[in-house]
Amino acid sequence: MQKIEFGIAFLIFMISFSFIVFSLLSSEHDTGENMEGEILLETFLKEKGTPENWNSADVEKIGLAISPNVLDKNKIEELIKMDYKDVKSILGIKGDFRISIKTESYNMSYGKTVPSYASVRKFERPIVLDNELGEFYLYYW
Amino acid sequence: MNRKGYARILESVLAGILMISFLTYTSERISIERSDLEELKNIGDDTLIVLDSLPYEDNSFMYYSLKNNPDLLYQKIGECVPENVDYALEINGKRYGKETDKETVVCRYVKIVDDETLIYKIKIYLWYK
Repeated sequence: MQKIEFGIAFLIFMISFSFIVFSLLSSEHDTGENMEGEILLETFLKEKGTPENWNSADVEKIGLAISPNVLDKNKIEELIKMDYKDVKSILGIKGDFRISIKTESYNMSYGKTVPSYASVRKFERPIVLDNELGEFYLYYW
Repeated sequence: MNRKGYARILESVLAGILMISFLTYTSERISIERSDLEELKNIGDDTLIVLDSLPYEDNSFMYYSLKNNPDLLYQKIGECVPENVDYALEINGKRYGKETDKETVVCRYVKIVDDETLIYKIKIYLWYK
């Protein structure tokens, strides 16, 4: 009788322990995804890229900024010309993304269609483009 | 096994389920709140950078509005933050906007206006609606 009770208690303990380990691991995975999204956001909004005036043919490192959060329209247009797979490989990211830029006179989107099934991280930041205030959206999953 | 034995097993199962739910809920809640506040801080910092980079009347929007119309700066911040975020502005200790009892993130910025060496200590308070 006592042996059965001990067995069941041990089983419950093991299930609880596995649950805790699993939830810790999945929260670490989410943190990793968040980190990658934030790094990608930083790359687009704070960096100029390489070479400084890069185009779709000679780009080594992607960045859309003239200065932090002030974006270069030429670089945005060059990015649109590029194949999504090539962009992903230059950025060195594991996940997928979509970006949107909206100002009063400009509107663009680039990247994969945002899925409804996956957990998608959305980032929204103010930007300046052609002396206009606008919004930059990054979806990362 | 008698009824007492079954009751003890049931008790342990229920206690285990309660413990698991509580731990999972608490750890998820803490990590969501922490990342939300970090995101709010980044939005605030970028808002201050953008308003100082936005050209306006031969200078930056921040410069113009600090010298001429702080209310304009308060309104413009509303165009920079997401719809689910509320905010208040403070310039040299004077507050513009609402008070709140919600958890607030504060972003600080110091703007020095060269010609008259005026120093503006700017703070924006951000919180989720």
